[in-house]
Amino acid sequence: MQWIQKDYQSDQKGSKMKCLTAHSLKEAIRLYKQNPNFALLAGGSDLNVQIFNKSIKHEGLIALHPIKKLAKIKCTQKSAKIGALCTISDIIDHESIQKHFPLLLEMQNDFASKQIRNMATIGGNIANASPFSDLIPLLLVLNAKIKVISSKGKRTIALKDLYRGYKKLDLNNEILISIILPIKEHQFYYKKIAPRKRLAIAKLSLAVTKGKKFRVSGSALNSSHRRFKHIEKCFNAKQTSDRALKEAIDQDIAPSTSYRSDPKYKKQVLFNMLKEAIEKLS
Amino acid sequence: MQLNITINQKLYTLECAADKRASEILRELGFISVKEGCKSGECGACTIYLNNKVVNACLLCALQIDNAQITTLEGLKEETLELKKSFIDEGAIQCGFCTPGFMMSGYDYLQNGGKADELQIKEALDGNLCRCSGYKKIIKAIKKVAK
Repeated sequence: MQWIQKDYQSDQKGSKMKCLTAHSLKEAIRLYKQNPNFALLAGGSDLNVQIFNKSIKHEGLIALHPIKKLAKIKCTQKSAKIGALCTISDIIDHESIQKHFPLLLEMQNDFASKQIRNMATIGGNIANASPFSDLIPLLLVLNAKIKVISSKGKRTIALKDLYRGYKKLDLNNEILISIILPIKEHQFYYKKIAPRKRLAIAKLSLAVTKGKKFRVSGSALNSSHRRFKHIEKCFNAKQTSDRALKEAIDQDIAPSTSYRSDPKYKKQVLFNMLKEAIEKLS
Repeated sequence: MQLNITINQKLYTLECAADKRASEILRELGFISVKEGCKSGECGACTIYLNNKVVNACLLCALQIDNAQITTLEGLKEETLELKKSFIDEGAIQCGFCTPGFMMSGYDYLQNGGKADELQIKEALDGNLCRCSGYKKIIKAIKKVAK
């Protein structure tokens, strides 16, 4: 049965944005080369809101969702390769991920809501580069690498080298295709502070892993995501006196003043969380 | 763009802007169980099944639902009959605006073998907001149907 309405009110409230759909990775690369100013649309859970609100202006969109190849998770003994279009649900429901990266399962509780976990993608989260991302700090402390592709070829870079300031990525017209997580034994600490338990934007979060060395990161603490080098140094050298930690915090984080919570509060809470983390992981 | 969508197992073909909000399209086609509350993915009143997964219709644009399978509450009338009765019996409704969204999330929970466990039900409803009933009766209604 088919229903066709010829005179369906195509109200052009939406801007006259040019919208393209890529059906294969090859096509995506070609379209992005021809239209470098277009935005890449993955799950759209954040980008679409901005488009509907008209709070950002793009010349156009390239939708990537039909590229099934990028929605797969592959695990070997050494690493897990997560396609950029895997949704958060795909990731936390995956057996090997559950086995090797229990830290990522924290997203079950802390990443938005069921509906959004079913549509938001890991690649979109990384590329959207929100300083409030719950996921990016976890990937940073798991030592993630990312694979990007363009008409000039593929390259692999460490996630920690991707961010160059607020929503600025160190990419040159490249498309993020997969995330690689090395499988190494580790302990972890994770906590998110938010005004309520679910579907909340973080006031701050802290993620710490301890393998051979400590890796520390968190969200909502800087204008762009990074590992907290000075805090890591303290942890690795076992210099965890109150003074040393406070100094490291001052060097590692520079939260902006927002209506959500002020920098002084964030620093104090981060300090408390670091204390808790070191206790748990020593 | 020309949009082909299967909604509740019927194929629809229409012309619309590629960056039009999916919840608007569904409502204009008459599927008014899809409510537009916050329009930013917070309230869950627009919850639909997209390719068998619950998502927020307000966060999708036309481009993304081209060639997709969508199920709205209208397409689950029979399947949700017991749940609907339970909502009525428990008085899990006040203004009713959030109810279709809660029915969808509740149905999805039950479909996936959800148990009569209050905490798990609460977790399953993490993407839905109700500003008048206070959740207790909604949770009770879903619990009653769960095995």
